[in-house]
Amino acid sequence: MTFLPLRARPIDDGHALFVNDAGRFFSGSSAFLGRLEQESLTVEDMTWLASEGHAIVEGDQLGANALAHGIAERLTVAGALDYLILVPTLRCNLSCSYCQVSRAGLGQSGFDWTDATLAAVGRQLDELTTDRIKIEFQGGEPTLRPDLIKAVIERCERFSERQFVVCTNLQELDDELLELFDRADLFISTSLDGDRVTHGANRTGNDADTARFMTNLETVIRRYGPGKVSALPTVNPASPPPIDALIESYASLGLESIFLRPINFQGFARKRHQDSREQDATWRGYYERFVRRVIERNWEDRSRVLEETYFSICLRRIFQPGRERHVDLRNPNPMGIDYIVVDHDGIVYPTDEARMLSRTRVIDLSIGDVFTGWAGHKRDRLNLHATNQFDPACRRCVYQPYCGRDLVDDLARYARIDMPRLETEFCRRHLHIFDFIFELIYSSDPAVNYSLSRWLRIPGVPHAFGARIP
Amino acid sequence: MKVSASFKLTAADRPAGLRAGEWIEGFYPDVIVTFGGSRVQLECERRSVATLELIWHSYLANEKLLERGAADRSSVLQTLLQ
Repeated sequence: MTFLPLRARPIDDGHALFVNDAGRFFSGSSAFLGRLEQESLTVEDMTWLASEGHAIVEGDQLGANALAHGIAERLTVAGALDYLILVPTLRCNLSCSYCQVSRAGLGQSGFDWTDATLAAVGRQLDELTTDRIKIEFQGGEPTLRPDLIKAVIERCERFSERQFVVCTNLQELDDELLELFDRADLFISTSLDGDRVTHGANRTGNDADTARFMTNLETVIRRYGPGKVSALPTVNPASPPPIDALIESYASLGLESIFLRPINFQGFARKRHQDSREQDATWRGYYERFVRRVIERNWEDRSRVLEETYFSICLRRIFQPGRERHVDLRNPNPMGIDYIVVDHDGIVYPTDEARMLSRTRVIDLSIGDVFTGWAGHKRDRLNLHATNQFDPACRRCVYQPYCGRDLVDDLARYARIDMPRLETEFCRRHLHIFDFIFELIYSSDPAVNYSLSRWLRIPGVPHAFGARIP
Repeated sequence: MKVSASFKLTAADRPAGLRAGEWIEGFYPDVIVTFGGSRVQLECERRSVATLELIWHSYLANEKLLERGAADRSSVLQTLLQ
């Protein structure tokens, strides 16, 4: 008997998409779908399916091993801890309406690392077994404590490969910070919600602070170039900014990646933006128009390539298994193993969203602390459920090989991890984005193919991105 | 305007068809699936008949493939665990 490790789903061009368990795919006509469903595939069908790894004839050990290898390539194997998100202070000099962590006021005490916490973080860094390290400084506003950032960086000099990211609102920029930012292994990440009016309304609340932020952003881009600076917008789906204005606010600064994020249902947003729990067709429509507009612009001006960051991540998950380490979209999604979050009080969380849920007292997802460690029962219990491999809906979904599992997102939105998968925002969002990607993969528009090629970082433009079977 | 498509369901296909109907309503909340005698009907407001046909045949095929491939899938997973 022949094993066909395939799943099917209609795509918008009147064909069905077929994806095997290893994520290899093709498009088939309704006639082919009928033959598959009726178990009346032709010799030509079977020959083609076998040659492409979609059919494994009984006794074909090589074919079975190739399929197993393809599946394994897509599964996450968490290595040693080498990625830490550190929160040296929870204090912040802004008070955004959708702040995800319920920040502390600028003058409040008890929200910065103590000397003991810094020492414990240092000890943990000394014990890491890897040669490389990535540290993201989050907050609050981490630049309120440049001394702590410097102390951590100094402790990391022993790693041969180092990368530091300071996530800052760039409200303040002085000589001490610039000297820190001058390091070649340090990158700056900030938030830019669109034009001055939108950014001011969402974040700073007044023109003077907005102007200071814009000046500081322009300063760091001028000083270091756009390669060292990234910015993310947070978009209110109830009143998203005009698409061209948002794109232009990035493009005019030389920033080419725009991570289009709706308000995250975390922190203050849970009370002040309650409709952010679920996104609807309006947001999905805005997202599609945004990506299509980026494609148009890339085609009109081929001297630069703009991208929507998450679209590119998902696209690369399809074509380049194993290369994308984006932690919100991996399977299994092991927590507290290869990356952790250390909060202002030394408490360790598996993800930043887990920290937010604990801060807002929804559920305590802390897994330990930097003083005594975090490899315990709580972490292991979370990890028992951190896969999409055995979920009944995921087993029927063509996108399962590319998709992930986000327990913390389910807890944030529904206070449980056993919601029927198809009723979760995580699932609906990814069904939409993968449907959209495959619509573009099978598009004959040269502008679409041009952008897809650039986002995949491949030379030229292939004849086709996916096979078709009549 | 409501659009519908109706399909014959053989006795042999009935178990897979019933499961397919359930999953179609999960994957496509706007599609209503109704079983009656030896027929199944898919109904919705914003899709074409051709799309409803593709949906039905895709998810029926999925159920059959899932059932037929269960042992082979387990075997592949066993290989991965070794």
